[in-house]
Amino acid sequence: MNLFTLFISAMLINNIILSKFIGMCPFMGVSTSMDSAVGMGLAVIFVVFCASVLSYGLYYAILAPLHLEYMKLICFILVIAAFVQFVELFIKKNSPSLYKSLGIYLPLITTNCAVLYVALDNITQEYTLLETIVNSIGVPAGFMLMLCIFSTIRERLRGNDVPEAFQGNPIAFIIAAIMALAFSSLAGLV
Amino acid sequence: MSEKKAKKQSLFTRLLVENPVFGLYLGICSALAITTNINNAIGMGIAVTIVLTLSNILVSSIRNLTPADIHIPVYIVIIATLVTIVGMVIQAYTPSLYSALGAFIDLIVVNCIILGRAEAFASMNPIGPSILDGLTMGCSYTMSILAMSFFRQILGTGMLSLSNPFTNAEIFSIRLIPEGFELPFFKEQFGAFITFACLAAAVSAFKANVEKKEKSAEL
Amino acid sequence: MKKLNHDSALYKAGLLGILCAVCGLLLSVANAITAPIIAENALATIKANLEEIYPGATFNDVTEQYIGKDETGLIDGIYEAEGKGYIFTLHGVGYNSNGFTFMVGFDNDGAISGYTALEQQETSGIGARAFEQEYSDQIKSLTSSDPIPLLSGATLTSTAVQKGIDAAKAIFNDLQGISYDPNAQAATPEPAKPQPLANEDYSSNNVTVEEISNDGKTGVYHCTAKGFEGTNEADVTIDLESGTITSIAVTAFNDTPGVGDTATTDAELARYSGKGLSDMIDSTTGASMTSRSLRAMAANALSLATGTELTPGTDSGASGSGIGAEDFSEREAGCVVYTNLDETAFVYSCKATGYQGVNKAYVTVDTTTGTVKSIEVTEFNDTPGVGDKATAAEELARYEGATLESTVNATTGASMTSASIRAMAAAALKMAAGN
Repeated sequence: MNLFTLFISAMLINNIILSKFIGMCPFMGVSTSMDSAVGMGLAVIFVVFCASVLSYGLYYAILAPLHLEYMKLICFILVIAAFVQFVELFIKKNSPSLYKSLGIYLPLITTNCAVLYVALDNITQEYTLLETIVNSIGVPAGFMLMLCIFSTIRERLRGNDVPEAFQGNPIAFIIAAIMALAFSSLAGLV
Repeated sequence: MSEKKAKKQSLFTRLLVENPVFGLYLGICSALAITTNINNAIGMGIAVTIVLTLSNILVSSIRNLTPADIHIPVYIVIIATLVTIVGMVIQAYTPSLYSALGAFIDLIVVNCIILGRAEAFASMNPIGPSILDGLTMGCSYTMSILAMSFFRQILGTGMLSLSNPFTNAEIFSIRLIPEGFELPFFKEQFGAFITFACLAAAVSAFKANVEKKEKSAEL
Repeated sequence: MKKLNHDSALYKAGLLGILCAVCGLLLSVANAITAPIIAENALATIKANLEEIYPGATFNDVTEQYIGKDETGLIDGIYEAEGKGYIFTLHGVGYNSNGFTFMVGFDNDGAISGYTALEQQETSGIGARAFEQEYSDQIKSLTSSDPIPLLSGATLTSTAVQKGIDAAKAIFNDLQGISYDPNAQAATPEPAKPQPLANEDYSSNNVTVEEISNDGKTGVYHCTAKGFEGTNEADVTIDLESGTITSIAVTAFNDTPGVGDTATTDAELARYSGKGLSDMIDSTTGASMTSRSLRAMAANALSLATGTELTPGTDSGASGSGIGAEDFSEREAGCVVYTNLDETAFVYSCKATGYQGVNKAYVTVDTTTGTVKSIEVTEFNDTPGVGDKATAAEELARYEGATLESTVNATTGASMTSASIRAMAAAALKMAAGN
């Protein structure tokens, strides 16, 4: 599949938040301000990319040849947890400033459905290594895009007169609904 | 004081206020994605309840053996194993449910509810209460996604239908909205978000109401 | 007993190790139990589909054996029907980015025995036509050495189908030792060229006509004609003075409901009003047999009413030696010079009557070679959704390089609009030649 098409499809058309509903849990918590959105977004791109490539390697180098495909869920989630832990320690030690801006989001990412989903999807769709790389960057890029758009909208929303019942998360879901409608018009583009 | 409050609140109230999906916003990925019909909701709900209860049992039984700093990987391995087994069973015995739920069966592993309850409750309580907690949370989750599917299916397809996932035989199917008058966007992403938002707002309003009543009762 | 030191690294590693080992064991047990059931389920689903092509046959899944030969990656599964042939399950991407899956079967002697969609979400009326009867029948009439034609109006989907079947052909022909030319192009299928009612061949329709009433001014004729599978009946009311149809009322419909009856809707029947024997009436897309039966009844009723003999087989102009020779008198086409881009390229502003309105276009002609460079439709007044198939970019692109001697096929289902565009092109070319 054309790599550029794959990237656009992963980032915009089959956007992981608006089209696939994955990664919603941390999304609602972090999308309240632009700073945290950017921080979380970059952290997610980094983690998803590395974890997916690692999982891909693990699957095709070890699990598949030994016919242990059913172990992939355990192995992938352990790889992700270990990797996140390792990265957190590394950043904490070597770059306190980076840790201050990104590091606090790292533990959140372990249970982010998005990381596991991308790792599993690369296997299900039988992508080549190059396609895996493109997909693993495109999907979290879409996540970050949505985070930034959402945080801008929610920042603006603070001055608005939202009905009491809808304050907080429910109004965010209404925003998500409208955005999903807008982005669904991209379907059929590729 | 909080125990007194808890005793005062009826079971129904507690279920709504501490609702994992609409009250605490945990496990919303699956709540949005697979709630297009009540078949899927019941299937997913049962799967999550089973995993949750079993994981609570296992975590609770080894809680005294697990050192604090490796407890996350330990819980993850347990939950992942349970999810994989449940996934295999679903794939083998109810293939229609498996193809409907798709990737979300595997994503039960990262369902915040399960790891959350393991850490918050099961790791500190004996097996008995842990089982109860698992069942309660599981039922609460199932009720929530059933409510979502109920609205989405009726408004989106006009019909309410249930079929046996083991044999694909239809149990019942009734048309509530005449054909041509249903709102298909409820089957899609837009409808999922809107339904969720409305239900969440309803629960939020209910919560606020309960708190107001309690405050005025105290005064 | 000495209490185990919970904080030692050895303990932690040990605990994790034992845990992983136990979990791994549990998983392999679960896998051993469920994997065979899962495999059986998968085969059962596909078997139901395979039986559509070769009912009752014994199937062997030979995918693993031969899939390595497939360079395209489009083949999902290869199944041998013992003693009968092979079935290939394939996937492709047409218009809908989710793609579709289909299967094609080859008899051992090479004839294509089956072609069906397994799962597709193409747009109905457009891409989905690639899985409907007309195209499906076309494919099933071919063999494994024939090139696969495309379907006009469903180019994206049929291209994906073509690629898939080509991939299957490659492996099948290799297996059976059939030689073929992988680069042969299918002749663009001649869409049933609309012909004047008097010229179409209705011999297969077994038409009967009976005059019911005739008062000198209006005649009513009860007709029957064979459609797709049944005999349809209609009452044709004819204005005897002008020799044209006033109305058609279908009294019995015995073709496929939901398919053939798209030709018998009020809107479709209204197209016959005012038409005589020399007029052409478009076939209704997807209901060509029923349409043909209607045309047969109309033609024969007109023939009886006006006393004119039908002359099947003589094409009065749709083909011939190019658009320069085609009779466009009814199109009332005309062009004026609009501008010239340079010394050789002239742009003509043309108009011509299509089906119900006047269409306008700019035709750019290279006057040195006498060829059309491009056509840009500026005003479209025929039926949206029907006639505008002929004004789509891909259809207009077929005029590039056309001369007065070129034949440009009409767009299926939009013959009148196509004719209007051909008329404009011919008029512009003639004007350029006259300069």
